[in-house]
Amino acid sequence: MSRPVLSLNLPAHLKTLLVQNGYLAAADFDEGQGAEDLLQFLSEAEVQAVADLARKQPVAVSAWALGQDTRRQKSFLTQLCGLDSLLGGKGIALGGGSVSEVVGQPGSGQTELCLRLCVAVQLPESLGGAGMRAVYVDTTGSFYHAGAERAATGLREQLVAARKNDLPLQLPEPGVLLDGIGVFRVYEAHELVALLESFDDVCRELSNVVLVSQAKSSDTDHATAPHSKCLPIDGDVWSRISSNHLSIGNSGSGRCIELHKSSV
Amino acid sequence: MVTGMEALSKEDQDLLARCLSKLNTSDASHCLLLPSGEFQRATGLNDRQSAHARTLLFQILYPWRAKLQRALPHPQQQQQQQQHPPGITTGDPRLDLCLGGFLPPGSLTEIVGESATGKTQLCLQLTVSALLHNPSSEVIYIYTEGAFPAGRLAGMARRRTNNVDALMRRVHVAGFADLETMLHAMEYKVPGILAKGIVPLVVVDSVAAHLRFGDDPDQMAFYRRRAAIMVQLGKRIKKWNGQWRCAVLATNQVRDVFGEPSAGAYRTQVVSLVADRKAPALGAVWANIIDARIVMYQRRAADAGAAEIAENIGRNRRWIELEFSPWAPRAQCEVTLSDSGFHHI
Repeated sequence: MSRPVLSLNLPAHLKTLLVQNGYLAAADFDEGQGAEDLLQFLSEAEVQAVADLARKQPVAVSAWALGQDTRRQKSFLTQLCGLDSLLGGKGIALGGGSVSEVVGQPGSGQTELCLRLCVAVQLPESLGGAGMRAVYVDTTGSFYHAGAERAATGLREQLVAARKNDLPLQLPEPGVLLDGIGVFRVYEAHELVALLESFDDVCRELSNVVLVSQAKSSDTDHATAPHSKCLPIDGDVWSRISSNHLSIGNSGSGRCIELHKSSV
Repeated sequence: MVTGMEALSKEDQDLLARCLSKLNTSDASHCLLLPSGEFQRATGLNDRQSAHARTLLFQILYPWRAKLQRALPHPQQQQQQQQHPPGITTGDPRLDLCLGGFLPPGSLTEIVGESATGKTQLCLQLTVSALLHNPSSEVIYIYTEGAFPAGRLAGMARRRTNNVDALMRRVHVAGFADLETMLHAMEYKVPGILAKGIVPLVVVDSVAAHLRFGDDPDQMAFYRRRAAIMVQLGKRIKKWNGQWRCAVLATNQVRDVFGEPSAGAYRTQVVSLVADRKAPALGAVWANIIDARIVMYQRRAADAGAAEIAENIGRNRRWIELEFSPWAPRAQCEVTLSDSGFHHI
């Protein structure tokens, strides 16, 4: 039973071209002479992509196998007391479409948390990091060198104070940690769209990045919920996308982070 | 013709020109705000052309390779910073320490407090510092209530320099009695002055005056309109910050809080003001736009339990607090107010 072309994992325009030229199923271009015909309306790279995909058999995956994959999934610790255990002990998962959303009043520490993540992800795996670089997408002008420096030195001091023996830690210097953070300042919605759509190129050229972005919270709707806690500004729409939903607040003299929803 | 299109090949330029004309716009950014399916339908392009056109638009509107910055400042910049620390200081080093060193260029800071706590005084103090720091700099001062306090500015300047007249001439003052003229000036006139490249500080004293009250009988409609205006204003200010690296100070007023603030309710609460049953006037939308907030408050000497009661009877004790900022931790300090401005006690 050959797979219909429309069900293949190809860009929409390629599928349309194939269907328009009479290729309705994967079996249609398995034969030898199929390649030259395809070259008439597709570029070489596209023909290669199509051929590769056609050869692959659809795989049914068991839940157990997916569970194994999840267990092997890379993650990095935020090194913040409590937050890592809130997230199941492994910190923030990487890959698999993991999006974490942090909501809080202005001044509650969202920027600090983002900067902490940018620094923590760069630590070597032996220290709980992922050895990856970070990209900070700043939509509100909240990124300052001073804040990033504080995050880097603060994390180093925390790790140095917490180490149990006298073995030297393989801690990168603050300068190296700061160098591993790329910053994009975005002023308008269309700039953000352009950046995120080009993000494949960004990752390819900067190799190994984690995306950290800044969103803002808003007050509740006065009419409906005068007593509820603060809501993220895009409300329900964004909450459906994110896999971890955290809120930060100031409580007494300290800060508290609540985990509202997590898929982990 | 959109800027950046000149670098493209002729076919690409034609393609984009067709897209813009099909969408009836000369602004390329409108194209990206449509989802890709709608974009394709509206332009009538086929799949591949549509995908290509969108990629071209991404490259033009946000060339990310050019826009990428590093968290670590360039070594040259670092050297420069050490020699001439940028940013706006108060002139009192210990007070500066409390405010995180200085207000960095490109920041939008709010000063909030009850009336007569000295918001304007602090603005004037920071203005004088900015002008003294760099002899060729100029400051834009927008005021919305009463008259511009020229006398106070001159008095403060006299304490710190001999050349008061020259300093006063470097302050661009503009007063606006209503919102529309203020917004108009901020859209057209202020960028003209900023384009000189020598303005380290813009003061808006106060932002709240024309935004607080409206005569719309429908409360919710007023809030929505106001929110839209504030967001636009915030975007404009952030553009100034990014382009001209100026710091912007905006003073905000306070409003009364009625009833008990219940534990679960979220309002923009400022801890220091809660005791007085006050909160910042412009609400959560503005609180999310600003980068940092400085709170000024006073207590009557008797209530504050000052030890030296005899000297302090009748005088209020004042505090300045950096409530939140992305560049420094929260801090507060007690201050005194004199002719030359605020000083750490």
